[in-house]
Amino acid sequence: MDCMSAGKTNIVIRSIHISTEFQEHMDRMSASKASRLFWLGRYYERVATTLTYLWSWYDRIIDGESPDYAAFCNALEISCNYRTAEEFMQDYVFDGQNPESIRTAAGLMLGNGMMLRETIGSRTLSYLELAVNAMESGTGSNTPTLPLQRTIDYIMAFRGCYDDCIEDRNVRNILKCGAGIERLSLFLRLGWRLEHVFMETERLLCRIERTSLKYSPDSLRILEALPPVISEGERKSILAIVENLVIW
Amino acid sequence: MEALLDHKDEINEQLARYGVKFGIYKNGTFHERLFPFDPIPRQIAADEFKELEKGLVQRVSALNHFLYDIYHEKKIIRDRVVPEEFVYRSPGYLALCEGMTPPKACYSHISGIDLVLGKDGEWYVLEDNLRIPSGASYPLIARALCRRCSPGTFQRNSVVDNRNYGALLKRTMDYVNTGGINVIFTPGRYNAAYFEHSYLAEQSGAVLAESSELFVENRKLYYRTSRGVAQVGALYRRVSDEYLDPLFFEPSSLIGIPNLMDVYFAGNVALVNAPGNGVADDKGIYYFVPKMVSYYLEEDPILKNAPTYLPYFESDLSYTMEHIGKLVIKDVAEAGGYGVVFGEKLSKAQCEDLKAAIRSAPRRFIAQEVIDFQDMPISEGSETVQRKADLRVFVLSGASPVVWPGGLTRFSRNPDSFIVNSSQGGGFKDTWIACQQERPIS
Repeated sequence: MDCMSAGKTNIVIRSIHISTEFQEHMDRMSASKASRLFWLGRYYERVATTLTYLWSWYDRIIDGESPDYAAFCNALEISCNYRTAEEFMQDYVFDGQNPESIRTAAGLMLGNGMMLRETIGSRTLSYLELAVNAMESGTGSNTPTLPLQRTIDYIMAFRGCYDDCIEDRNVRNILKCGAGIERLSLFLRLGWRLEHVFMETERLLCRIERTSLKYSPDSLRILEALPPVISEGERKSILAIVENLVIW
Repeated sequence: MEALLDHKDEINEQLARYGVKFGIYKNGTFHERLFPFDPIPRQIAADEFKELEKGLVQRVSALNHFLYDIYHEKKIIRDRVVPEEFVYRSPGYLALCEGMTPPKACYSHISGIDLVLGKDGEWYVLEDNLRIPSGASYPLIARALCRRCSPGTFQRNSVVDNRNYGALLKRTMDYVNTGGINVIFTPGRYNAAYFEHSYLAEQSGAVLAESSELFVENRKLYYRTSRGVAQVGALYRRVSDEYLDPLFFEPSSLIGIPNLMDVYFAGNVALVNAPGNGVADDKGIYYFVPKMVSYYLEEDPILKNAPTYLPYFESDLSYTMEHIGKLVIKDVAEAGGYGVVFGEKLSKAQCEDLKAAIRSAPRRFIAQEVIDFQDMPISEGSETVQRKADLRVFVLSGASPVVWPGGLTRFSRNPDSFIVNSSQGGGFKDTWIACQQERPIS
C-alpha cells in the first residue's frame, strides 16, 4: 500500500515537473518563433512530399514518357513556364532563382531552421544543412535522383531527430502541425486517395490542440466532421479550410 | 598534428554540416559563405598563456575603470593623462550615459583583445574590442568538430578543454542580470555573424530574439510570447549603439527597441556590453591604455601596445610625416580592417594626399610601426604555406575577469597581406593552450 502511494506521489510530482517545464517553454516561445517553426514544418514537408511525388517521373522520362507537368503546376497553382518535362524537372526542382521551385522551398526550410537553432538544436539543424547541401550537389547532375534521394533521407533524419531530441512538446507539435497542413494541402491538391486525407486530418486535429497555436474552432469542427466521400468541389473547400486553420 | 591534417576534408564536411558560415555584403547583396578553417592550430604554452592571461585581466580591468571614470568623475582627464578631445570627440562617447552606472558597474562584460606575436617573441596588443567583439563561436565549434574527426590528436596532446564558453557566457549574464531571462538580441538573419548569435544562444541557454519580439513597458523590457510576456534581465545585444534604440539614437533604425535606453537608465536591464563603450576601444584611445593601467591600477602594464604615434601631438605628427613610408596609418573611425593604409604601398601622390588628410584632421588618424609579426603555417591544398595571423582573446567579466582559454586565430589568405579580417577573405584557426605539467603538444 505504502509503495503504491509512493508510486502515485512520484507520478504526480513528475507530472507537475513536466507541466511546469512545458509551461516555461510555452511562455518562452514568441509568436514569430512559433510562426518560424510552423513554416519550417511546412517547407520540409513540401520538399519531401513533392520530391517523393516526382520521383517516379524521372523513371518515366527514361522511357520517353512526358509526365503532365502542366497539370501538376495547375494543381499547385504555380506558374508553368517550362517547355519540356526535362526542363520542368531541372528548373522546378533545382533552380534557386525560381521562387516556386523545390530548391527555393529547401532554402526557406533551412532559413527558418537557422533562426531556430537554440530551439531545435545544432544537431537537429545539421540535417537540414545536409539536405540542402545534397540538393545543391545535384544541380546540373546527370544523375539527379541520387542527391535527391539523399535530400529526402536527410529530411527523414531531421524528422526523427527532432522527434527524439527536442523535449519541448509544443515545439514538436508546431513542427508537426506545419508539416501536417502542408501534407494535407498537397494531398488535396494532387488528388491523393481519401483514406490518406482522412488519416492526415485526424493526426492534425490531435496535434493542433496540443500547441500554443491559435486556430479557428469553426474550421476545426468542419474538419472533425468530414463526410466519408468528398467530391472534387469539396476538396477545394476543404483545402481552403486547411490553409486557414491556423490564425496568425 | 599530422593526424589532424589527414582529416582536413572530414573537418570541412563537418563545418559545412553545422553551417559554420559568415555573412558578407557585396554590391548591396547578402552572401553567406563557409568561414575558411585551417586545421593547424595556433599553440600557446601554458606558462606563456598564464602571462598573457595576467596582462589581459589587467588591461580589461583598467579599461573598465576608465569607462566608469569617463562617465562619472573624469579624473583621468583632469589629471591630464588622456586629453579631453580624445574622449569627447570620439564617436563612441555617449553623452547621454553621463552619470549612468551599469549593473554591478560592469561595462565591458565581453572583451575581445586582438594580439599579434612579434618575431621578437613578444605579444603586442593591436586593438581592444569592447563593443560587440565577435568570433568566439567559431573556434568553439571547430574544437568540438576537430575532436570528433581526429580523437587521437586530442588523446596524444594535452590541450585545455575550452568548450565551456557557453557556460561562461551564461555566468557573465547571470551576474549582471537585474531579474528576468537572458536574451541574445540579434539584428536578424542577415547579419554577418548570425551563426554566432544563434550558436551562442544555444550554448548559453539564452533566448535569441529580434526587435519585433522585445518591447518596453513601464521602464521594463519584455520578451513577447504567444501566451504572455517574460521580463528580460540581461540583454546580450549584438546590435551596435547607434541602432539600439530609435528614440535615443538613429531614428530610422528598424532593428532597435524603442525606449530600451530608458529601461537601462532605470537599472531594469543589464546591457551586455554597456552602451558608450566605444569611447574606450577607439583607435585613438588605444594609445593611452598602458597609461590607464598605471593610472588606475598603479601597476606596470604587462602587455605592450604596438609602437603608436598620435599625429594630434606635434612631435608625433612630425615623425609621422617624416616616416610615413614605413608606418601603417589607421583611420580611427573605421573597423573590420578597413581604413588601414600601409605607407610603403602608396604612390608618391597618394602619400602626399594622405599627409594632407592627416594634417587637416590629425585626431582622425593614428600611425603605427609595422610589427613584423610571426607568420603561421597554413595548410593550402597539399602544401603548407606561411601567412600572417593574429589572435583575438576573449575576456569575460563577471564577478572577476576570466580569460577564455583559447581564442580566435585569424589569418590572411593573401601572401602579401597583413589584413586577417573575415570580412576581407581571412580564415580562422583554433587556438590550443597547453595543459600545465601534462603531456607535451606533439
